[in-house]
Amino acid sequence: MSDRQTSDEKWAAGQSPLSVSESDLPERPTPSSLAVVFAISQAERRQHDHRHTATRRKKAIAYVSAGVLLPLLVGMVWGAYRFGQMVETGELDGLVHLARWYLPVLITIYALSSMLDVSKRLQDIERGALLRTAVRDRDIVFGLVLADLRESAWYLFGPAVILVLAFAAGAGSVLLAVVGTAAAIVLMLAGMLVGYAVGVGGRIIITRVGLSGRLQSALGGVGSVAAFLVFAAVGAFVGHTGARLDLGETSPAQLAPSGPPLPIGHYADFFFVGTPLVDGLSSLAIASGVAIAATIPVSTWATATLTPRLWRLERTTDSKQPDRSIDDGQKREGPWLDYRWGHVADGLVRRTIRQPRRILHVVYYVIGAGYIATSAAIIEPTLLPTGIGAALVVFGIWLAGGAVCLNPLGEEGSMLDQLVLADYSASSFLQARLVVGSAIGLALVIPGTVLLAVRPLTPLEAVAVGATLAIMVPVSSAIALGVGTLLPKTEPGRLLGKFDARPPERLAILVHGALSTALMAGAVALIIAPPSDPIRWGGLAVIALATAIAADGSYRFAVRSFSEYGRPTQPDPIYALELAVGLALVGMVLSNSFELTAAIVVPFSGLSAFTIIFVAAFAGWALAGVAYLLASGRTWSYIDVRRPTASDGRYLVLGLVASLTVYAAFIGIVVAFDLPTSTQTLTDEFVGGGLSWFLALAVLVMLVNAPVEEFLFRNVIQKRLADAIAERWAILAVAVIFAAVHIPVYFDPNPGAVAVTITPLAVVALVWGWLYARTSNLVVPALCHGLYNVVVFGVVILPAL
Amino acid sequence: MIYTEGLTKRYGDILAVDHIDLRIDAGTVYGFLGPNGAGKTTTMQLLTTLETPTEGHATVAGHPTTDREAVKPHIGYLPDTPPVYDAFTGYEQLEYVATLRGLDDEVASGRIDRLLARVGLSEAANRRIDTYSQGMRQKVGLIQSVLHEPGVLFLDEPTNGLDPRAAREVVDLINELSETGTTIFLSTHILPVVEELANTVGVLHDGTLLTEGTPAELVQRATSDEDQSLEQAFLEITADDAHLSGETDPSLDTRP
Repeated sequence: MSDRQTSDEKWAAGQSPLSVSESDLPERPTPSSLAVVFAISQAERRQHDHRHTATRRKKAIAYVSAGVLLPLLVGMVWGAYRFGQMVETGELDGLVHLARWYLPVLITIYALSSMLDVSKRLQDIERGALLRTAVRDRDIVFGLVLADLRESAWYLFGPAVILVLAFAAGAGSVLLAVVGTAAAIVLMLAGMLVGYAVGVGGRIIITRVGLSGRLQSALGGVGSVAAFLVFAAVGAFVGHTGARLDLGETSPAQLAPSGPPLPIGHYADFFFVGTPLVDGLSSLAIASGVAIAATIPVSTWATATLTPRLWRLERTTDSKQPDRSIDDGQKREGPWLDYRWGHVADGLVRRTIRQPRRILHVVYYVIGAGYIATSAAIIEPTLLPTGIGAALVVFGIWLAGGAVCLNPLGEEGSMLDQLVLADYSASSFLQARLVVGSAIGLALVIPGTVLLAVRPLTPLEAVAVGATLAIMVPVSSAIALGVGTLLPKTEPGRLLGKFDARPPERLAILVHGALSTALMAGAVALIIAPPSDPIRWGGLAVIALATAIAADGSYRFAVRSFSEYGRPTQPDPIYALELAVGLALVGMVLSNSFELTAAIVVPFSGLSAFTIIFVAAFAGWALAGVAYLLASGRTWSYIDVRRPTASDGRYLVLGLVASLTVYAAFIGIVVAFDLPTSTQTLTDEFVGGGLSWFLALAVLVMLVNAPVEEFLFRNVIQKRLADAIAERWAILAVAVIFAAVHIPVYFDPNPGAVAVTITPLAVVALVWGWLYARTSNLVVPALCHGLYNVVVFGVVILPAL
Repeated sequence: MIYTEGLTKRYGDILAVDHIDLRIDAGTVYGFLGPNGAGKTTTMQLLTTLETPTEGHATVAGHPTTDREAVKPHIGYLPDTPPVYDAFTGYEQLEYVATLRGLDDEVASGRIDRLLARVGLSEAANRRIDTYSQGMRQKVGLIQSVLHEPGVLFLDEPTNGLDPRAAREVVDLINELSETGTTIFLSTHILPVVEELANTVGVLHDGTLLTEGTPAELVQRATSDEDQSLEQAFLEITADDAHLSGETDPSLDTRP
């Protein structure tokens, strides 16, 4: 006993028994903090980017999404530039005042989102056992924060800086460009780091208070809801302000609240210095800037100090308590159990009820849908029922896909191998998810539709809208199955700091949400459009086609991936056809998007403007093909470009003769039967242009138009289609698709004229498809197509010169 | 080198580690034996500073485990799942750990080459770890835990999932390390490993350290005459009724 007393005394005195003097142990090298921090951030970034297939597919989806959104992004940059110009001419006096009030709100929003996000980086350390026993805790925290900073650099800091620079360019102020950029970076950094510090501190407090696990999750939920309310309210207010801010009628000064602005908001002056709006920086502005900048080291220190405590606290929760939510011994009953999918669905629902955290990612959808309802309420209180109805409808459609369909492979985790080998077919597992998702969706969409019908709709419209929305629910589930299979998240992650889950990729959530919303909104808008609108029926047909292809194609893709997990895929003709049409549609959307962007950006007109817009449009088509190659794991070797052989040359001549014969026959028939034709929208521009225009067009056709179209339609679509169906049918199908995508180019109010003009296009496409099939060399149909186009344009344009 | 007094860890109502007293001298290979769920991993996490004790004290390499930054440079830790980055090649992983440990580039590459050759991973070292088998990952984990030549090494189930050849290579490496004077704290439920490597064995059951001694001493304690093996000794020591009733055979207690 005396030994113990002595050792207790030693402990109390701050010594420990068996203290070994420093000289007994070998010298330990001290790693430089900077090297360690950088190494950790590198390693974490690489590991984060690692899952190879998913990364390529993510890139493909990200490129296509960015391409589709390009006009919007460019519009924002252009808008910033115009704002700058207006500031320079003195039109926006109240802008500084507005900014001083609303900038603190933006910082708070950003800090809040970092606060919610802190789990992603600081708590979820997968290699914790290595890092926490090898490296100073402080260095680990810095390394993880740096990894996060580098990741957000391109999607957050980068765009913010671009907007500031565009604004400065419009205002013509170099000072603003420099100071504004620095200010934006400091602001975002401060917001992010304050968010981290508060997030970590908040979690420690919640855990330390010693609440039960359930109460902790409730508090965490309250925090998220509170954050959502702030997001929604501020977002709605900003939207409301923007909607009323018609710069011709209401000036920002009139909208700005009266009274002195918030002191910290004087930081906004940093974003206007060098323009007529702000002569010089007041002491208040400088003090405000210094105060914000000072939060950076303070919150960094707080994060570095508190996070190690959080790591240790995390483990002392009641995670080892038995799960009292399991109701043992209860037999499940129901008619659905007679079906295989019913069995699977039953198990899925039971697992989800026991562990609601499996679908905790739906909180993202709550935020979005709540924003819609809140906006309606703020903008116009009488719109509240419509707002709630719209929110329920959108929420239901999102959730139909997002709840259980968005990660079918990933959610099973280690069970996936067992499921693949099970007696139940892949479709049983996926049908189960489809049914459960649709049930959840319909439960929300039906009451939402009823509320929407409160607004004056004719009974027919109400029924049509209701039916459309009801159809969109399983469509959303099916699309989610496909998107989620394309981007499975197979590693566990953490949501809101506590829950081991396998949340779907955020990119999948975004793409599915956007796609299902676009289809739904397009369909509903066209249904309630006036019947006389000419594009109504055409538009509805396109949306119906796109919806059918997206839904069925996604479902088939998911079933294929699941059942052929680990094995080469079997050909599926219907899926291949859907893929072919889908790629063409994506190409069309991208092409229009790029063209619109170019039209916005290019301030001049004439031949050079035309060239840029022309090339942009075809870049869009090309991107569709490239994205497919990326997403399907193919390499550049899929593209068949080779030096033409003598045999290729013979085929080229044969093909050209055939194509031009078809054209000649077409002209003959049109003249003989006096058939209506439509003209290319392109040729109208060129007729008055002169020879130089025609030559430029010829070059563009040969170098851009023909190669890109042949690349997408023959090399990608036809080649892929020929894997699943006989080559001659592939050639025919692609020819039909090719002609169809040219309908908008030859648009005419008379559908007969369009049909007549499109037909020879389909026939020559058969020729080109056949050329590619025979030669397996992209160069041959590309040259043939190009020369054909030059001749056809020449026939139309040259006589008019 | 490792000293604990009344080391206890409680999770809510569950007592994972119950007042453990250890005294492990420098250069010893201490085998920590126990069934699954006995608390071996928790004890190891307490000793490697990854967990804080609810009660009691621990000293590792002369520093209390509450002073984490002082303990870290002197320990190496291989948990049951080796913490490695799939994105790295074996070589890159070890270079990364060398950076974390502040090793000089030349010294590091020399040690890395030598250790990789020692466990037969030299050729595979340029492949990404996500192509590695369980045994290869375990070997990388072991090398990275000894790269900085720590005074104390903590190994949690080091032969976990290894085929006999790989297990032999790992055991041989551990033997070599012990001969250089490294203190090794080894937790496992595989008895032949313990028999071969350990100087002292401690048996843990339901969080309590039931007995300690050399493997030979423990075998002698086995009451059954037909089967005088460590396995038999272990089964008898950890038999539930002996433990629950609180009546352990006093002859089994070899603690000083």
